[in-house]
Amino acid sequence: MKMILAALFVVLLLSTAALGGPGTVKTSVGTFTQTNVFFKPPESIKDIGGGYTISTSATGDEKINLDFETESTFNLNEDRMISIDTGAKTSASGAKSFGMMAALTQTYPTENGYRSSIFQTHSYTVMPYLFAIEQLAGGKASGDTAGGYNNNVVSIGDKIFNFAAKSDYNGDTLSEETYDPSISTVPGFGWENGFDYINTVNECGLEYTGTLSTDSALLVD
Amino acid sequence: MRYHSKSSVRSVLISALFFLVIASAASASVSVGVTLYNSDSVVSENVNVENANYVSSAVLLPYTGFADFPYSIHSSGSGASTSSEGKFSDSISATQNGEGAKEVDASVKTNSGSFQWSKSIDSSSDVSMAIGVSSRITNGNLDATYSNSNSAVEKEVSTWNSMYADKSYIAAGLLSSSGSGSSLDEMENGFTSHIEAQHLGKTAIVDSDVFELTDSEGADHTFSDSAKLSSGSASLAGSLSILSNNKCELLPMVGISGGPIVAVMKFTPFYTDTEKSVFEVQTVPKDNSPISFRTVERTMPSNIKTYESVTMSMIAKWF
Repeated sequence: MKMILAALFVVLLLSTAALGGPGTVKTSVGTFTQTNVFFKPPESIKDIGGGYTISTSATGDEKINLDFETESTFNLNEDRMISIDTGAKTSASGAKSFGMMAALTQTYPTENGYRSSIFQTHSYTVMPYLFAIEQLAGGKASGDTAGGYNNNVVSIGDKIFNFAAKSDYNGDTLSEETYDPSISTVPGFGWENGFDYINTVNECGLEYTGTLSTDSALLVD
Repeated sequence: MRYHSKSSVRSVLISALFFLVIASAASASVSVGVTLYNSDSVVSENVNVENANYVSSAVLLPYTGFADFPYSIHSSGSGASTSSEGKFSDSISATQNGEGAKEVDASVKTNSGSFQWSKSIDSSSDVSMAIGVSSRITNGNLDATYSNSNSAVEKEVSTWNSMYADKSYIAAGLLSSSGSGSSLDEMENGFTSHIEAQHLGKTAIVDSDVFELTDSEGADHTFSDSAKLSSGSASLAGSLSILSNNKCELLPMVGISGGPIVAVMKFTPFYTDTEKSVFEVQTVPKDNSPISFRTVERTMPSNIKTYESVTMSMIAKWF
């Protein structure tokens, strides 16, 4: 039953943008930015690299404003891996749905191939009415550790609702969400968010990927 | 006139074979070995069953094209368990003109489960053979091995308050196997699985464990595995998920193994011949410690539904 409801939620999110009728989407805007930084330590013949990818999009009826800003810091750690600290702020108004995905990637060569680790967060907010949303998302990845956050402030007229999620592989809590119970007054509201920790080893002709993912969905009947 | 001639030839030279194996009494075991051969091919089959039945038939002709038949040897059969505790093994091998030996094998043992399988063999310009197997356990154990001349898959799955179903197909150049399972309710459930795939000189193993040692409702688990070994590539995958119900909050904790729900996955790659590691054992979570979960009843307005899940997955590919 839980799987069915979760699947229905995904269908709901997708169909919001795809179907006609009262929820017809007339405009959509999005941003996508990707940065890769490579270091070449003196004793290494191969580059050590990393980067971030941030994608946001919003859909609405007539006019959507989407403002986006990001800042990142890259450092080389012990000539082996890089650390990345990234934060992104997005503001959207006049939207009926808003989605984002942000990922940090580290890649380093090994004697027999290469290894990489990815930390990413994503969220999707859908509303039956036009709303404004301000989102702060960020993450840090350094060596074998990573973590991040995903905060959303949703405004409908004068009403403000706060939703937040954080994930910290270093501490003892992998995923912790904070919901705003006052959203119960807005039937049709939906919020999905999650975090992914992805590790890849590609050595000696064998490629392995291990993933630890959290996902959370909220629906208001 | 020609028709009568062909009919008479058919009646004389076509050998039809049929055998039936039944071993349905407790611990009853039956073994059958069959060899079919003509001027083109030699096909052998060995079947062992315990608490299962099996029916097979075969048509044996002098050569391909004889009496307009598109093959010189054709055999098909199927079997099924007759008890929740049973096992079978079916091994088929063939050569054509004394060369190109091919072999496919399947064996399954269930405890608190059931299985069924079918096989087919055709010898014409080439020899094709395949075995299809499906099995299912509920609160029980499954031990299965599938192999052909180039590759092999081994599965060991145990479930508590959970079910698991497997479907596998073994042909001369392809071996595929996939399974999935889920908890039957949210209390006192768990599973362990060991999936091993050997192909192209490498062996990869995915081990998965989930234990929900809680007597209160809160979370279900699902798990799945998939192996596909074809002529030039191999893949092995596994995943498991912990899912909360809409009344509970799921709190996953890394590095703390003492929670009421514990899950971990392990990946082991090595060279088949030497058993030397391709690289070190990998785990999810990455720090080689289990992930622990607590479920906490959520106090939310009744029209708010929340669903939380944690998914662990592994996939490996090699060529």
